[in-house]
Amino acid sequence: MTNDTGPLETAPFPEHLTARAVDSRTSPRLHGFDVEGDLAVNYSFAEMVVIALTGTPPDRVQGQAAEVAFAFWLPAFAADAPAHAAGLAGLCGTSTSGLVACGATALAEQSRWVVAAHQGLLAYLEQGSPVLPPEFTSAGADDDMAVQRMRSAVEAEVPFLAQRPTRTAAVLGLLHFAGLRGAEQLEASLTIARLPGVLAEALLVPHGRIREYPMNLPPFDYRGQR
Amino acid sequence: MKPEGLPTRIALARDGEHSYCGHRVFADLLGPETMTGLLWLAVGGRRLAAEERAVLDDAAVALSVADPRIWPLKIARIAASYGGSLSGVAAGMVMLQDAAVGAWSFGEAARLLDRVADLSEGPDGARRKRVCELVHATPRLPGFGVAFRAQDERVLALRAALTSRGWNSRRYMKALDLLADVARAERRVEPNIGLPVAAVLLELGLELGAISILSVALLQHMFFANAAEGAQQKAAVLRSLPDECVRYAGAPARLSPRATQRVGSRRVP
Repeated sequence: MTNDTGPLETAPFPEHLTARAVDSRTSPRLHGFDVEGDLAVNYSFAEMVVIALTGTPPDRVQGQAAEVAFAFWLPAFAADAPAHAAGLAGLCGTSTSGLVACGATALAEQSRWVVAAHQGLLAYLEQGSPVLPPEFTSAGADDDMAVQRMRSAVEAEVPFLAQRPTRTAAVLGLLHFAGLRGAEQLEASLTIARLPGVLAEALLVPHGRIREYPMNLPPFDYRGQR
Repeated sequence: MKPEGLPTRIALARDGEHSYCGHRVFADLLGPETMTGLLWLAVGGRRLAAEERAVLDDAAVALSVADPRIWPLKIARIAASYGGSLSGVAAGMVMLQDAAVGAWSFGEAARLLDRVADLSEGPDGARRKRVCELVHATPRLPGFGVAFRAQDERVLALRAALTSRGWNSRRYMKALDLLADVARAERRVEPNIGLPVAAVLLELGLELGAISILSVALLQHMFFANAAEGAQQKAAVLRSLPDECVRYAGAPARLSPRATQRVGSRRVP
């Protein structure tokens, strides 16, 4: 015996959806700040990302550090999974939204992976320990030169950058300096920073030119019965 | 340096015939194999007998509460409201990864059930005592908890179907019954559909690490159903709820520090 009412009709539920960050009742406000009359005038896009994710406006030094961290993280190499996947989507002739969704999904996973691999760094940054854990220390000249360029680009003296971190650790350290904390905020900011790089690569892949794609890179070795 | 070959057991495209999980697609699978069987083969690594596939189909059917108001399905519906059905499917399903709500969590239920099955060897009294200790030592019991109703009707339906197939005396069925009984008595919680589905998958020999993904595969039809209809409808109300349906509970209107500085500096002669 069935009827047309069920638990979703009889249980008490609120009648409103709760908005917690953006108030759109008049001109849009982000965490209470007028987007059009205040943030757009006084803050850069990277700073607005910090505000969006933390609810707190960075000071000028932090904001400039966020700009640099975003710029350093933006490039997405064709060899890396997000741009590779999004580029393949383009090759298959998908819609722009399909390509963006494909790249953003892989990119969000990459961000999760990067932050998870740097949990020890996050603990170090929170505790302000004097010695950088060895696994996050520069592996050579490439890291050193990148971090040197980062130090030149950042207006403030960020003591962490003097400890010879890897390039990735330096980006995370700079985001931390800018006020972004914890895995959620860092994963989100890495994803936002790199999405333009992923799309830059993928949107240039010509649709349908399947013979131009290296099908056997990397090769797969089928181990099942033939 | 040229990358080494990645091992795969999944498939090989060949001339005139293809391999899928150790079987020839046209010679072996075409005809006798079913969609359910292909899904199991994809993750479980072996072909199921017809009666085993039927049990898996029972689980998929019992899972079928496709009401568009249910959270993961609502996501599919919302994401599909611009007209992209696969975007809806993808948004709904990708959300399930590691989520506490939804079929991914069936993997945790399977782990608990596997431990109970291990504890279930030996005399009755001792088994119950060990399971009781486990239930008390596990703060949040995966596979338990039923929202908005006293019992999960899907559990009752699937349990009845499994009984009619003569599965009651199987290892994980007995573990399921014992665990449900102990949890009900000790914690006053009822099993949800995750527990019997996990029992079915374990009984069929699926590895613990594969339970979550196959559980999601078993309910994919609900995402396709909602995303397909949602994309067709392109409902304006899902693309944007009316203003009066939204309540803002965030920070009050305020000036940013830089705007405050500007205002302040203008006031200074």
